[in-house]
Amino acid sequence: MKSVAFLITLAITLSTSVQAESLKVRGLIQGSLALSVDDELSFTEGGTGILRYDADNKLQLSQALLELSGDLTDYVSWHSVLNATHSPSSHAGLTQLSIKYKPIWSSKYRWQFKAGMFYPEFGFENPDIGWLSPYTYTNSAISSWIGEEVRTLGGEFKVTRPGRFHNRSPHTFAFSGAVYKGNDPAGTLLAWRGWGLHDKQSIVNERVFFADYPSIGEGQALAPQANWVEPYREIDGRWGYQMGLHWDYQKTSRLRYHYFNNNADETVLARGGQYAWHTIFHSLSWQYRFDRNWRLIMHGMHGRTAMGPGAVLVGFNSWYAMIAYRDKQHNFALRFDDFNTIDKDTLIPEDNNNGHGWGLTAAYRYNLDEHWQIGTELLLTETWQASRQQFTDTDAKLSQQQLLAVVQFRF
Amino acid sequence: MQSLCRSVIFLLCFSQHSWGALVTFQLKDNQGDPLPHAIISLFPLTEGAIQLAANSTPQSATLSQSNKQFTPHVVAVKKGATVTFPNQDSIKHQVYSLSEAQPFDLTIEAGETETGPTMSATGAIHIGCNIHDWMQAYVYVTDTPWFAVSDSNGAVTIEVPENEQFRWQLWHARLSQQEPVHQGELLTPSAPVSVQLQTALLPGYDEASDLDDFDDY
Repeated sequence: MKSVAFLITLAITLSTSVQAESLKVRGLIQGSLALSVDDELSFTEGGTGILRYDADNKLQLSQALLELSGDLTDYVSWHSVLNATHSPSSHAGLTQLSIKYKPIWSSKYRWQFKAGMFYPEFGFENPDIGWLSPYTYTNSAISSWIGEEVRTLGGEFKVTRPGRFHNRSPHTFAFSGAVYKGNDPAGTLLAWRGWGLHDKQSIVNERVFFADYPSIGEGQALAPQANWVEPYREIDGRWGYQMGLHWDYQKTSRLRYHYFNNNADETVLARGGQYAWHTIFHSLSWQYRFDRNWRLIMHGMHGRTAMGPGAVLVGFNSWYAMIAYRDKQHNFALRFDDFNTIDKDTLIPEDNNNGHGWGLTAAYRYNLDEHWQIGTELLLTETWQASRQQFTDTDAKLSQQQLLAVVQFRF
Repeated sequence: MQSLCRSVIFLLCFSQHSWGALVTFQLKDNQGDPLPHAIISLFPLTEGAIQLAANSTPQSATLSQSNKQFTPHVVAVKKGATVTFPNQDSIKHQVYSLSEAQPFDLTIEAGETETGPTMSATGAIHIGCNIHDWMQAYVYVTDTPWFAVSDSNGAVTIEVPENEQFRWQLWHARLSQQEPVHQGELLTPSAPVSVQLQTALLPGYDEASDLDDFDDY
């Protein structure tokens, strides 16, 4: 709780004492109570459950974040998000910190350059403050994983060709490319835990835990691997890259394709049991707005991750479709997630990374005013993860339910 | 409605000149629907009106930023006029133009007003905001004191001197090319002029389109 107090103190100090024109302070705090959970221990507590709440962790400060941003010049701005978490342990720090340069160069193309730590624009689910979803409380499997293991720590350029500057075409295209470091362990969680469903974004220098699977235990071939990941460690010194292509049809249909390759040297092992995981994926997302209130969001991901010389090779796939309604007061969203992991290595047969599952999430959120929101969310999921069989008392198959009551305050 | 209001304000400003004749236009697109945001300019052809035009003082126009949109979408000014940009939002805007006719770049803090450069060349100036890419507007610079923007019903009313001959010309941001029907001549007082476009307008966002909360994401 110290970290939350720190954030609140910082927010009050900044918003009262600093009246600098360019500094913008926003924040959000959210408490969640799981009205109904299953007994499966959450992965955050070292269990094999894929959700954030469990019988011992029903009441959580699910979000506490502060967004600070400002302008350095007319063309250069900065943006940062500080998060605090207490699951599994208290930790506060940055989830985003970037500087953006947006010059006015051309009447036909718009350029933008970004450097720092920030989220690539993969999907459409998380446009709210601090990369939160305004639709459901629990992210899709894809966004859950991005939030815990994927971020750009480097530089990105983006060039946009607005249709209106080209014979008033309704089609706007954008191309972006980024190089980054510090994303070498990305893929670790997918290999053993499999896909998760939660709203936890990992903070710089935070350790994200998963179950202590016997296959990575003492005496095993994979023993050097820890049962936690520090997602933003630089391990092999190599640059990774990702590129994106966006296509907007007016404001109605928006399509984004991204290719991600962290270019990690999978043979390198760093202290603390952190391997470099060579992770490659394709991401395709689509948002269609039927009207001012209704929208459809879809996202698919197809990739693979590899660690150790031939030790672990896992294919991963996921997609979701979400229909969402929003007006000034009422917000409703319904999402179906489907996901799997496919074990493709043969070296260590006792380490089976196969898994699959689905999730159905329904959320209703009501805005009391511009600051307060209350809501509820029901999540049903069924997963099968081979790695669970490594524990004698655990089935590979797991059905989980979660009913949340949530209060959110933003400023 | 705003266009109409502005036309009325414009007429009030000019009423001191007692021009005496009202010329009205009814503009339609190729589907027969009313054509808003079009500009009709009346260029004098006879000596009296040419003198009046030469002696007229350019009037400045206002292009506000409100709810992260420019209002109105189109303003017209006489060459030599300035445009003021009041920012009525609680956030900063960076209003710019890269149009050859008049490039400029203004940073406008929340609640403040900045004045753009003197519009010294005629033509359409495309205005954007570097922070909010979807914001766009046009300043149309014309070389006559007699002009107006069509309202939501496609109606244009311009007060002009009587017994003078004029060449009228239509401009719209979404016209791909000038058509013969986009201009003509008239003698004041003149009967109402009806204009229907022959080709479809380019697709576009001329209306203040329904913004997504997360458009800049």
